[in-house]
Amino acid sequence: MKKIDAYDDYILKIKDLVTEIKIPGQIIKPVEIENFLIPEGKIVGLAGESGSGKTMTAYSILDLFPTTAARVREGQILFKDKDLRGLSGNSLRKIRGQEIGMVFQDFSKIFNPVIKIGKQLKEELTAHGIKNQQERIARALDEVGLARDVADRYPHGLSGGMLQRVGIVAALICNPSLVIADEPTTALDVTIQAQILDLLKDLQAEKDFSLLLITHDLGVIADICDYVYIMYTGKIVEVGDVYEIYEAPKHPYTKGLLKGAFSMQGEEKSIKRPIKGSIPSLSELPQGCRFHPRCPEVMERCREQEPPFFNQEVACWLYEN
Amino acid sequence: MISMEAVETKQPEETGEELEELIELKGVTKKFPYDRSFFGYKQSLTAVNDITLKIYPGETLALVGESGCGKTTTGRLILDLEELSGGQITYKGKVRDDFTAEDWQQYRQEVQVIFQDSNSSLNPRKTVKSIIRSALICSGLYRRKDKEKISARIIELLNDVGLRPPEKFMSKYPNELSGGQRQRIGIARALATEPELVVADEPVSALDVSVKSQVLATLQKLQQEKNLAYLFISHELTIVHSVADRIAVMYLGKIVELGTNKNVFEKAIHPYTESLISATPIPNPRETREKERIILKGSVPSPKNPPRGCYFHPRCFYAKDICNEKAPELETIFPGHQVACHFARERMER
Repeated sequence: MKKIDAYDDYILKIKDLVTEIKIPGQIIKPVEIENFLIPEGKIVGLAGESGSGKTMTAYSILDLFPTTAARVREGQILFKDKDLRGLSGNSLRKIRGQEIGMVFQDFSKIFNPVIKIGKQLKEELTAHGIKNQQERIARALDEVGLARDVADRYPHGLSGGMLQRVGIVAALICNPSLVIADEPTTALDVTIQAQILDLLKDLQAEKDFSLLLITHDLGVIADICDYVYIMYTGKIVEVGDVYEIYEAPKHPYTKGLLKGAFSMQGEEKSIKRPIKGSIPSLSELPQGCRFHPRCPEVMERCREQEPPFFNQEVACWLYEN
Repeated sequence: MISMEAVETKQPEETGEELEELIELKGVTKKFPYDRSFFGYKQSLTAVNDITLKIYPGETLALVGESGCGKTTTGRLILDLEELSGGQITYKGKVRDDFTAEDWQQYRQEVQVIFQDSNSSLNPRKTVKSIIRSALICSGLYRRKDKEKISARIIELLNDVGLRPPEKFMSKYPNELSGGQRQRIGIARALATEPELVVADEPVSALDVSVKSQVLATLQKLQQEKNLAYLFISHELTIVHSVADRIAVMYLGKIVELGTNKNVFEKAIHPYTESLISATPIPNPRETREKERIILKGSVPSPKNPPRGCYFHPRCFYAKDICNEKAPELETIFPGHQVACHFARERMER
């Protein structure tokens, strides 16, 4: 497969993005991304442990922060070559939902529990000035394999898997060209997860939108992504196409993640050697490379200097040349 | 009194002879009433439906299934946190119904629990030291005035679960610890009473990948050192594969397949087990994309209104007419492997 930076058209380009959160007495930076690309019509995965800044990256793109203490401080977020940071609240609202759809982890908290599904979907269509609402909702429900009468039901009357399908309808109903899915299957059972992943894959192939899939589950990424970004404490440490990353990982963190991943293969009742320690708090980041206290291949240099991104592939001093 | 002699830890399959089990569940059933009216509850749902299984000393029996299948309720029944609606539990050869007060004291000391959410299972207003101290005192193993002995034991426990140096953790509160460290406190508290059986209810589900394997490695080390038996409740097949000796698969309150780790993963007989394994993505793009996927239709039906016949038949890709009419019994297909499916023998020869 082509390298991720070898495409002509990108739906999303992020450059030198820094997001900060004010906490008492301090400012932390949950996201510091130099370069992040989503080629048109591709599925890009963003993986990392909790606290690595995956979700904050999604919030930064759409300026959807749950608190006013967080904001994007600098950088460019180019969606179809237009910087989203320069837009007014109104024009950004037009893009959210209509051009960039979002699938959340837990829709039981997203939908209004006292309004019927159909009415909530209509609200979205009205907000974006779309006509033929009945017909469009019916067609969208068909596409995700739900009965049309779901529109007349309340969110609590649906199972987790059905609600996630409705969530996908809400994300796709305006025909967006980019969909951001944040842990879309984490709250679901494995048989339902398989259904939803299949559905996302089919819809993506059919409608040809670009998909940013955020998850901690390396199995899910292996299943449907074309490219993967690996994130650690707010920074991208490695990027590559999915086969390359899984078959020949470069960064010691990626290697550790994959080696420690549970895969149902190999010997029964044996636990593979995990990465030692745990992810540091953003307010107490180590000097030099942020991974060095946990790294099995640590060198002198790693303790002092933070590695840049070598060869547009990996941020590690081992790959300097 | 219950006999206290130590039992060998070999698996029954290895030795070929019958081992004495630590605990046996026979026909265990739990019904929860719902739909309350002025005259009492009108209906009830069956969360755990006629479960029979044994746990041997020193082994890990994993209980897997999707949410709502009754895994956790089974664990709570063993812990006596729920009352049985039917069936009986035998511990070290003595039926629980005949327990004296002393037997119960011993049972509660020897059967312990690790909960999933260490955030809500540890008292936020107590220090690590006092959390473990209350377990030591309540179990009856230590008296309140033996302050030095208690401190020494707490240090030993913290060391055992990998919190080093232990002195550093003694005076901390749960909110000062990371998720993995908190879960280790939960393990230390369970071990404080020197248990023989630990019910671990999704002990690592809330943790990150690297922390997960660390905590699981600690659990495994402790098992070897102290000959603990675990009832490991989990919905993640990938994790079950790396911790279990034997696996019981549950669906809607019933056990549908029970066998050794190797047999369940290599030749799953029940269609539900097969589809669970095939639906679990593995972290290898080539293999996960090439493997044949069984995508089940629909979702788990409500236990308030279970289907006729075999509970799994509306979603089963192998269902025939008989599945709609008759519920299959859990039968031994070959030594050490039980399946509840009308076509178990046929499917074994696939």
